[in-house]
Amino acid sequence: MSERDDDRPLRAAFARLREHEAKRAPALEQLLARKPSDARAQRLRWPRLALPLAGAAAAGLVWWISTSAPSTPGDRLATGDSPQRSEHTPQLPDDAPIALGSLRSPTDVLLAPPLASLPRDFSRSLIPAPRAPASARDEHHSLSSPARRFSA
Amino acid sequence: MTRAELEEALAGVLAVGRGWALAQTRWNAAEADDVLQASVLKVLDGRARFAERSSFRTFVFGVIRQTARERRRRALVRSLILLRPSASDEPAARAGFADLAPDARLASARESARLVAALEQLPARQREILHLVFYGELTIEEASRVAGVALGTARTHYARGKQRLRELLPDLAPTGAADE
Repeated sequence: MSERDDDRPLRAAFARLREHEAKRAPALEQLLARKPSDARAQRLRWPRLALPLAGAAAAGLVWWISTSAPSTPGDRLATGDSPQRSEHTPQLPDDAPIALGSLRSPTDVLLAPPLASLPRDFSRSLIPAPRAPASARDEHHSLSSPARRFSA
Repeated sequence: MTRAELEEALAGVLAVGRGWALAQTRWNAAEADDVLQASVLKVLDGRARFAERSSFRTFVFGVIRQTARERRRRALVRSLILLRPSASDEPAARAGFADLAPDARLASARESARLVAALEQLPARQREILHLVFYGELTIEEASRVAGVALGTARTHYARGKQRLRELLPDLAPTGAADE
């Protein structure tokens, strides 16, 4: 038996499949006139993607506006806003022995009083006093505290 | 070839070309029609040019295969972007056989459904070569050109595919072998 004879049942099965499918095949005109099914699917799919994208963009815009305004210290001064103090802002003790004790963050420099309004001996408070003998130092320390000085 | 000649030649291979498109889309009828339409348009508007180095049928089969591959790639990218299965993966999109099987008048449809189910179990290359030779009535050499494999490789796929198909569908075994 030749190979072609061996293949006869196989060929017959494929021929039946071909006949079956031939009934469904469209004519050339029909094929050219039809609207591709994926075009319909595209129309349905892209809005599904566009909506979440638009939502994410809107949320991003709101976040950006809320975190960036007012954007400069000048804006803060103009609007009268006080600078935000967070837990991370280094804070000086309230009894710091300098006139700039109100400076709590770098942005406070802009809010510091003008130089003319500072006391005359202001610069002296910035220069450390010469070290005194131990007995005198204790006394000095006891007087250097504003609270003690006030009570004295 | 003029457009009229192209249209006439295309009309002659349309039915068998649709079968090849079905095989390329794993028997998804809607997808197959899209592939066939895109392929025909490529041929008519000159994006795919028939150089007459092979038969027109071989050329059209090659265009259909290339188009189906492009669409599969695009569908994969789209499904990755949208994180959802592509249309060809959806069971509802598979048209043709399962719904026809209960009808007793369509015995040939049941037979065809069995053959398609068996073909689906073969490796892609074997499935392609068998389809091109038995359904598309190409020679093994022409099938090798369409599938883009060497002739020897195509012969191997052809022999192994036939053997596997006969194991899956014993009634397709040679008559002499069935008697033994």
